[in-house]
Amino acid sequence: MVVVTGLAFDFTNGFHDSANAVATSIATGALKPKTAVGMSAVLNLVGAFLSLSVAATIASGIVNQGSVTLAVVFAGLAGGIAWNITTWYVGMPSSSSHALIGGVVGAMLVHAGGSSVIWSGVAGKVFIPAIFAPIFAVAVAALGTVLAYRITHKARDGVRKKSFRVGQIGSAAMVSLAHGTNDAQKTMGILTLALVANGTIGKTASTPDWVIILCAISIALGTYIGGWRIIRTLGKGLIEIETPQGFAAEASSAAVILASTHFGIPLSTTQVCGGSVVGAGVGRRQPVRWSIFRRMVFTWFVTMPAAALVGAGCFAGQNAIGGDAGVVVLFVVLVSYCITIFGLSRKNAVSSHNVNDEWDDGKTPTTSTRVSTAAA
Amino acid sequence: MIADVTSYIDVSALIKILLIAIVAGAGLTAVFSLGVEGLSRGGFSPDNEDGSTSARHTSSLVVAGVCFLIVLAGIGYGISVALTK
Repeated sequence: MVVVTGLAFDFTNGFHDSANAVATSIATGALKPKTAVGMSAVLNLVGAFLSLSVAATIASGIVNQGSVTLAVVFAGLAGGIAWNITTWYVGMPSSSSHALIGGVVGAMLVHAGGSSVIWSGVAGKVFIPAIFAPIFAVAVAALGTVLAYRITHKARDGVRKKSFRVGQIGSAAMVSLAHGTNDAQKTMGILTLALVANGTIGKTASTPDWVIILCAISIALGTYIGGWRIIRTLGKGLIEIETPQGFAAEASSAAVILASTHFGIPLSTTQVCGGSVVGAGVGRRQPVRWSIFRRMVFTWFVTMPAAALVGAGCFAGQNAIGGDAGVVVLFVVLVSYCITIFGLSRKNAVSSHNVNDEWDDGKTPTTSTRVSTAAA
Repeated sequence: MIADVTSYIDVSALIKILLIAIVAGAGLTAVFSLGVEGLSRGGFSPDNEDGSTSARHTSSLVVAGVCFLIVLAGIGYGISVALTK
């Protein structure tokens, strides 16, 4: 059951974060929405197989492996999923990684107290990258955008548009791949923790192959289903984006993510991509909808504590009921929460059909006349 | 205090990440842009993708080609480096 929940988390991760990779390509029209999401899914799958250094960090650097129990992992995952689904509903690109880590840390605190959390790990591997990653992304994307426009300002419009469009297919592919190398790892790390807690594998064992395969598949599935609400916020909400900007933003995201994967730092791909899009806007001295960016940054700060609270609550509730019954009850609550949110989301569904409609400053993506599903 | 903070933060890794990101992210974008500029100057027309337009500036097209190759090589190299542990 923990494994299933872990995979469910990976699904929401793909679902939630596919936005990062393809949002700008969809917004500039470089790729058709479905094509973009499909491509991203495949490359996420590939990326997930390529590197394991982030999984290792998560499995060993955040909490004390010795005191992890299955119940802790389960409550942590539940906290992560609940937060992911909630932010998806409001269309906010928050960090799935922080949701997951927050959930586990919260559950751990209730279970074994402060000493069981490796605070230096949380600070060094989560907080610090969380602050720097978006700043790096803004800077690199802004620089890239300035250069791209400077260099091509004499180029004919048609050529420029077309070339960057083709380029964007490549850069979106890179972000998807990078996402797979960084994000799919996180659940693998957590599932490894769970397996260690269960005694299935030894403490020093590395992530088993079947975990890698299942995680990769579920993140790819989630990506393919697509988090249209978030794609809309990133692609249309922050700035009105052009192809050279999209290219620069994606190149910047891919570079920042791949570089930090190399150092085993689990940064938030979401924050990097959000930062890049803003950077692309700043690089062209273009009006950025700062109100949306502010809300995004606020969500980033809230994510870890909020998921920690939910994780802690889940663990406490589960414990109060006790034993297997507690796990089952939590599972049922979680599933019904997800179904409720999905139900609510039908009211103003965002899909591949209306993802690029004009932005009208609504808090959530707007209902479009083109939405084919009947409003509930 | 400073020693305290730096023991949590891998400063050298962060600086390296920033440098790599600038070179790979903004640098490759610039090279790609040079390629686009080359295409435009070389008389390449998007409506005529086989390049059958009278290529008056073959040299510009060659420059463009080289630029795009550099970008591809950079990406390939980047992936291979990023993923070696």
